[in-house]
Amino acid sequence: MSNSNTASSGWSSEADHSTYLDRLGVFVLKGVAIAVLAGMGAFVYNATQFLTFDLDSNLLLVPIFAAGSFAHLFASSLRESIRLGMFGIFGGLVVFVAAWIAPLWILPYSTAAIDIVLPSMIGEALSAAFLNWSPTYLGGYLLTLSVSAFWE
Amino acid sequence: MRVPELTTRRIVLVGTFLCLFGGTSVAFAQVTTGHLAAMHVQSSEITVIDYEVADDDKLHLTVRMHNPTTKDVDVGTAQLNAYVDGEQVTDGTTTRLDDASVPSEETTDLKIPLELRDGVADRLRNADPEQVEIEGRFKTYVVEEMVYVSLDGTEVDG
Repeated sequence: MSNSNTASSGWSSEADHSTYLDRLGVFVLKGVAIAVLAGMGAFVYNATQFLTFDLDSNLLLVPIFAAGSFAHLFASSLRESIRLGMFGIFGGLVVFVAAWIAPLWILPYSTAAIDIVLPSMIGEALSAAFLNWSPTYLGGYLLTLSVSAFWE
Repeated sequence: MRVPELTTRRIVLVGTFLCLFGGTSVAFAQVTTGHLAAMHVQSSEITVIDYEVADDDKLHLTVRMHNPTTKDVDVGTAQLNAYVDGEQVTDGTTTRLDDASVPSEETTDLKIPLELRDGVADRLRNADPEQVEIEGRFKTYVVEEMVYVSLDGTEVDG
């Protein structure tokens, strides 16, 4: 290993041989995958009344927790881990809120109706995000980060 | 772009991610369509197509409900009132509808009996349909989400 900060996760072998665009592309791919998993998980956890199968709601926290873990496990360095972690938390929030408010544009709502309903729907989504989504995601990320740092 | 080396660790990691991603996608699809249907059901088209004051002095309504959503809608209760020239003639109680359901993208007629106030049955029987108005709301369910669907100031057809 030629680079001292690439020892964390086993993804480091290509770090020194790729171009900037390669690394950026791989980073965006990983970030989007993590953000989409986190956002989908958050939406599912906060709307379990629409699920047709019976599942313990605590199990539905697993995808969110795991998305936080993957943000560190997919990273080739600690710097990339932090970047992926932040990309995941903000990208996941965007996916979650977008899924929550998307019906306002899919269904024939008037502009006036959207103006009335939109702030309350965004408020609901953000309060759900702060209550259960961000603690779970950050819990997964920080636990994986700590455990992996402990073992290395 | 260089293809990353396939180590066992990477295969396990990506495999786990893909399994989790697949399972979450299935749940996400259910939740998204349910959420969309719960917002869409509020614009269901509901028409009172017939009413009759029966010998039991109850008002028997026939209500036609169109479900525009991609999910079946269960109708739990009806909280409806009838008015003759603006005066309420029903007693305001809630009517439970057993096994009433409107399948996805279909139209169903629902039979709803309403209790009348004392002494108004003949007045309602003799009223012209133009004098009668039915208002209120239904408590409906999209999967397990409860949604109120309104029937506002609807004059009776025919």
